[in-house]
Formats: sequence, C-alpha cells, structure tokens
Amino acid sequence: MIPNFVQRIVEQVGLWASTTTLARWINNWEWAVPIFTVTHVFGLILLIGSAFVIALRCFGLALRRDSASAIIRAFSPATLGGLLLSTVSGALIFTGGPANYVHHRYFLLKMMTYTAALVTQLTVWGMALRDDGGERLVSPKWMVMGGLAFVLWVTVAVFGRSIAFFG
Amino acid sequence: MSLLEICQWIESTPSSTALRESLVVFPVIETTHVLGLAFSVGTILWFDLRLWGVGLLRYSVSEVFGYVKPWMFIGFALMIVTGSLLAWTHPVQAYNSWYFRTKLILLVVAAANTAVFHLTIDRRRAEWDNLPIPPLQARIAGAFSLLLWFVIVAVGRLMAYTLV
Repeated sequence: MIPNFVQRIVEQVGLWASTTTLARWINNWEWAVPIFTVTHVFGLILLIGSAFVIALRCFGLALRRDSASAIIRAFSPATLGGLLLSTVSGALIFTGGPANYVHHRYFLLKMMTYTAALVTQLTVWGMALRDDGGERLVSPKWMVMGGLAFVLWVTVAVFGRSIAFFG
Repeated sequence: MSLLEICQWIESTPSSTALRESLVVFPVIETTHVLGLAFSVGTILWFDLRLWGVGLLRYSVSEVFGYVKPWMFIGFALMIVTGSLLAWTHPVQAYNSWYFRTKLILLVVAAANTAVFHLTIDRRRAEWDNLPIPPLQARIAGAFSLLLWFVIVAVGRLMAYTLV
C-alpha cells in the first residue's frame, strides 16, 4: 500500500534530521515537543477551519455574495498561516524523534495524504488567482476542488491522530 | 461521597474499563474529539474575527453567525460528548490534573462570556449588525472568546503530557 520510494525518502530525511543540532536541542528540552504539539493543533484548527468555510462557499452554502475564487483569496492568509504553523511544528516534532515515525505506517500514510493535500491546495490557490470572479454561484470545478482540499486535510488530521494509537 | 470517590467509582465501572482498554473505540473517540475541536473552534474563529472587526467585513454579524452556527453547534456537541467519554475513561487522572481543572474553569468562563454577550450588547444587534467595526463591548467579547479558546485548546493538549 505504501510505495518503497516513500519509505526510503522518509528514512533518509529521518536519518539526516536525527544528526542535526536542532534534534539534540529538541531532545534536551522537555517542553519542546508539548509546545510544538500545541502549535500543531492550532495550525490544524486554522487550516481545517478555513478549508471548511471555503468548502461551504464552493457548495453555495455560505458567503454567497462573493465568488468562490474571491473567498479563497480572502481566506488565503488564514489557510496559509495554518498550513505553515502545522507544517513547521510537525517537522520539528519529527526532528525530535524520527525513529518513532520513519517506519510508522500511519505516518507514511499521513505524509502521502499531506503531499496530495498540498498539491490540491496549491492548485486551488492557482485557479483562484487566475479566476476573474465572474463565475456562477455554484460551479462544479469549485465543488470538486474545494471539497477535495477539505476532505484531504481532514484525512491528514485523522492519520496524524492514528499515529498515537495504531501502527 | 467526595468528588474523588465518585471519580474512583467511575473508573472502576465496567464501561470505563471497557472504553479505556479498547484498542479501537478509545482512539476513535479521541480522534473525533480533535476533529470536533477543529470544526467548532475553526468556525467560531470566523464569527469572533467578525465581532472583533478584522474579518468578513462585507457580511453582517448576523449573516456570519447564521453561516457558522449549525457547524459550530455540531462541533461543540461532538466535543462535549467525546470529551465526557474521554474523562469517563480516566476520571481519577483528570481529577488530579491541574490542566483539566483549568480547562473546565475556562470552559465555564467561555460559556459565561457567550451568555453575557447575548444578554447585553447582542440584544441591540440590529443597531450595529452591518457596521464593519462593531461596538467596543462586542469587539471585547470576540477577542476574549478567541483568547479563551486558544488557552482551552492549549491546556487540553498539554494535559495529555501529564497523564501517566
């Protein structure tokens, strides 16, 4: 289910991360991982919260006075902020203990889903930037893209929580 | 019977033991709690920002509340049900945790903040509903709500590191 190349990439990154000064610093400060974890949850709330409101607009269920592309552009600071917070804090949590993650099935599934969600999110932003805002109230392209981005980010969160319990 | 004894009794019940030791149900409850958090806090955030006068200014306060209300309530219902079940699985540890106590107190403060907002300035919402910058009391309620949820989420997550 998980391609070998994904496993190899994660192993190599993990091997490199474990030798860095940052990894030693994280391991020597007992509050590092709890603080990064709280930041990770804040990022998740911001990201999923904004992706959800965008999805509502894409399905014509909220903020109908503006076009879907205008709402995506207006929410982009929050979406980007949530994405950066969760990505940076997630990378720091990983750096603190790569051995806990590199062979973990749900971590690898999370990384694959994260990549798909990131590509989808970048595509959504690219489409929103090119759009002139003159589209209909509800258009199939925005229903697919807005809905897909939201579902993928929720799936990333579910796989993330699964790391703590399964594997 | 003291509160601690009640917690000890809860922990000894078959339902608490079954939930605690379940390899599937406990993770599902915990994951649902986090997703409920993302829905409720992730949507209330936009209402609070509108009250604060820093987001969605083209929409009236009533419109924004109407959009987020159903999802916010669904998220809160999920959080309360799953949060209660999580506390049911580890009542003695929760009782002894200062993070848990702080979280409960802050949840009461958040509810009081909401009640005060609805019983005072919100009763005159028609007067300021369309203003880009709402009155000071509404802005304070929005900012205070954001701050409270920020701290509630933080202590809730930090609590996991203190439970053995």
